[in-house]
Amino acid sequence: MAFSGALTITDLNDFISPSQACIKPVEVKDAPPPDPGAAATTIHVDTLGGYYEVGDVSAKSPAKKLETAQISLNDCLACSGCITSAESVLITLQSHSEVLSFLSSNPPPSSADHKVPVFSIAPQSLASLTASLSSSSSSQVSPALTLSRIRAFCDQVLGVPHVFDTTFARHISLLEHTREFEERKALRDAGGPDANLQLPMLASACPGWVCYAEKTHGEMLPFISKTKSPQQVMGTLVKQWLGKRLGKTPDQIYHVTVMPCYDKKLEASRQDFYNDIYSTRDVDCVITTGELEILMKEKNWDLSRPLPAEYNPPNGAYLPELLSHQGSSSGSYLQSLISTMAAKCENPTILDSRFIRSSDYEEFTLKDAGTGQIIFKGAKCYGFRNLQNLVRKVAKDAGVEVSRGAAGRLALGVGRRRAGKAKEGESDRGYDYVEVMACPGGCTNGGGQLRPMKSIGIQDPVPNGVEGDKNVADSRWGDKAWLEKVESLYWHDLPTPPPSPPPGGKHDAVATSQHVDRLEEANQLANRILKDLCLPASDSDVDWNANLDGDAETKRNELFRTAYRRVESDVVGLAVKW
Amino acid sequence: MPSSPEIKYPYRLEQIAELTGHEDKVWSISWNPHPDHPLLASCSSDKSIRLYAYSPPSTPSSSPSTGSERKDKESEYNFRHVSTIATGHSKTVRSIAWTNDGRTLASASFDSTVGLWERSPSNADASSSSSAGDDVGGNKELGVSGEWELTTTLEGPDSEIKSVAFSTSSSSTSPSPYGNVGGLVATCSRDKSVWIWENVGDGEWETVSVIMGVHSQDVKCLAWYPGEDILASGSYDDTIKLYIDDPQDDWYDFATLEGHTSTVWSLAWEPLPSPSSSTRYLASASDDKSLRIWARTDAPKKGVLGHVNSSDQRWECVKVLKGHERSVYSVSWGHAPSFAADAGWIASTGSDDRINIWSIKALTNPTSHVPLVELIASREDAHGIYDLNAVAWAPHTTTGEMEGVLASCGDDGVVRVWKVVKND
Repeated sequence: MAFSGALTITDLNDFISPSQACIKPVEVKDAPPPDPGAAATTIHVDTLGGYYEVGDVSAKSPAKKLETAQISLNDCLACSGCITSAESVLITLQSHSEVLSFLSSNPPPSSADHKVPVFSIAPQSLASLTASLSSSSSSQVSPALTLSRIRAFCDQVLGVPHVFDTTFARHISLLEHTREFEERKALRDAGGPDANLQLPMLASACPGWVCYAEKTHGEMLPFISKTKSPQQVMGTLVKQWLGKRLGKTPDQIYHVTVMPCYDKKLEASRQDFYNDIYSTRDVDCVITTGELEILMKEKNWDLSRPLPAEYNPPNGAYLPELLSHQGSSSGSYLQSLISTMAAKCENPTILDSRFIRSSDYEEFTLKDAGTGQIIFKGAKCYGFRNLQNLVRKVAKDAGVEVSRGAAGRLALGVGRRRAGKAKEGESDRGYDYVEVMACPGGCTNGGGQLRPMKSIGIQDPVPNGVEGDKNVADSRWGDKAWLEKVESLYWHDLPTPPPSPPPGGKHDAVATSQHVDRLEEANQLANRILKDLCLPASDSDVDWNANLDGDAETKRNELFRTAYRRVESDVVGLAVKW
Repeated sequence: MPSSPEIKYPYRLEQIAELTGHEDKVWSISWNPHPDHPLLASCSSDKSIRLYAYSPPSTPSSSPSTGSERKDKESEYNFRHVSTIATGHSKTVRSIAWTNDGRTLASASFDSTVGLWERSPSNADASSSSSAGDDVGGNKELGVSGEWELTTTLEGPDSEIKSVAFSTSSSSTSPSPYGNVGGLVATCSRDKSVWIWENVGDGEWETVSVIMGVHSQDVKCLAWYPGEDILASGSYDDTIKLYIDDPQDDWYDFATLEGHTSTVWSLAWEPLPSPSSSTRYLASASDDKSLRIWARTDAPKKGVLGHVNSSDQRWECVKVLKGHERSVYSVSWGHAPSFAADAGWIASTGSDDRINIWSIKALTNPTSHVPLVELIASREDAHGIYDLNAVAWAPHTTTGEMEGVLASCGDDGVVRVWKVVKND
């Protein structure tokens, strides 16, 4: 199991640090006050594994049975330095075994306790599975093909009638995300309090980044977009909108998502995504791409085998699927804003880009071709090392102090800042938006994706026949080629978009008309969903980009936006003398 | 310490200075490498850094001196306390390091930050025009005096930082205010990660790489290969890792050196210029009471570790040195003095309170990588009953003023300076 780098370095710590206590309180019922000067107690374990506190012989109370402390995934999320990173502690609640266990104990549809299982798969997971197919089968493979086979697996083997991908949920997320950006831009331009905290807006879809910011860079939280990630929008769609159409309440649905990383498991178990009314989570269980592969293998399902000609796909609910959004394979958040801003400009626009240090950190500047004015400046920033520099830059540009969480601050002196460097210009203008992802290479390189196959036929550039650290260089070259393969399959079914939009002209000139039609269909469905969920009684249509009034708008925010909070460590560790 | 039968070594250590003042354990010492700034720095659990200036003798001792001249030697070097930096770190300062130009000092602390310190501009400007070689008053004093101020804080690692080290490669030779643009510094910490930062000018440092998932435990020490951007790290996981940058991608570990049976506490590369004809050695000190010398044994090229795609490298332990009875905490590799016909001298120390000096003989057999090592001096109870935490040879200069001189520090809060002299 591999969490993203950002989570690894902050959450998981194999040391039981004496200065850090588990924050999970254990209720102590009627504890007698300790006798001053009482002898120290020892703890005995009986044959059944129960723990007893045994005092000295003269103690009045007999051996006292101790309560076991229970720690759930939710608690771990809030903790600043838990007992152990043992995998079993953190992921017992979410695994493919859990899914199988649910399915086998799920009462039949006729029963009132039956829960309708729904699977939602991320497009990066599909790309990863497709890449593994492409090495073993000679025929053409594509994410669409993979999805249809997975759908067959879920239907025939697991008894799961509804299988979707998350691209439509992402479409909604992008709509809301763009809306939020425009709100924040307007607030920033209007001045007033907190104007400097509106931009740059930072992507919120990566839970590795969000958890890292909550724990160690609370000053970044105001900048992070409040729009839900595609996974969580899917949770809302499935449990609330789809549920209503199926005549089910949220707790009568069991929603499983397949994601490219383990960090998504933590996202799904956040308190914000827990429905208090129905006591159910929007996403019940997250499994990784690798775990889905294990699931299929355990059930002897061969994904490379074509479906029989006479196979009829199940009659599950319909949502637009395999939508492509121009931009990055991590969700195209930056690109969607660039496109929006370009479309709003009266003149044609020019888009410049440059790499900073590596392909994981790229800056984009959108200029009005007529006036030369910069309309929008954004960046794509992936990977932990680039996050470090980004956080520093954002804090400096906005004039906030970079905090260090539990660590102490140097009391003496502040770093010497650039004196008298007040030049205006491109290099000094702050960002309007940054697409932040914790994993280098983005989501296609998530910790839960399939690993490269050995016999993949990729040319091995390293000479054979030597020992030592051959494996290191090998695996790195192999990984790169594999990742490129997954990336290319990710964009497979689409009018292949360029990595960044072509300079000059409007962007929709690139898309084929079919592509545009499908996105238009998605827009219309999104509007209808918004109406169904927020203004069900209304006769008129709604438009996603327009504000609803009063309660409806509040409802919209509840459904499609979320919030963040700093994790305060109450254990500062200064009491420990090192 | 238990007394062993009196062994007559060819050399012995004579103390030439005892520097007190710290209020708690002294964890590390570092000599300023630049001749314009003859300073010895020490750092402590008392969260301060103390700077001692010294006056290298104008003529190197062409003949090793005997004990009766000790009094003269002490005043000859004139170690004196010139400055204390109350760093403001909230926990122990565990490690310090100087840049090659001697103008910046880094302080690595258990509070998980690193402070970068420079002398206030007026002092720095005045001394930059001094010439090495004046040995009384005037310019030399300007090279060591003055107030030190914090110019940058490096933050990011999540737990105690154990070591900090500046690269000495040629990428860091374009001088500018606040150090050399392009220069790299590395830190390692208990969170098992190694961070590499680059000087981007104007007192700003950017994170170049965060190397995670390589060591499986606390990373204790770092050492940059002399003159190259190649890094070595030692860890509580008993291994040593070597790293290099892949310009297309990121820093990565290209070799793992295994052999120690416990924590690797300290590393030292054989310094430049190297008389070794075939390879560059790495020395390591471990909790398993031994020191090991490692070498690249496959296709050695003088002074070059090989290209980036270095999967054909083979690193082996070519020597195990036993001379300590407990954990060895520190190793330092220096040039041998002119009066000794050796390729180099290694100093080691640790929990047995003993300082050992080992000589490395020049290799006569060019195809063998196994160095000839001999224990040539040993000082028991160097800091009394207290553990020694570090030893470091004084900087090497072509005129050899500080040859045979090394500093040690220990849990007694004292820094001692020694000179290795020949036994008659």
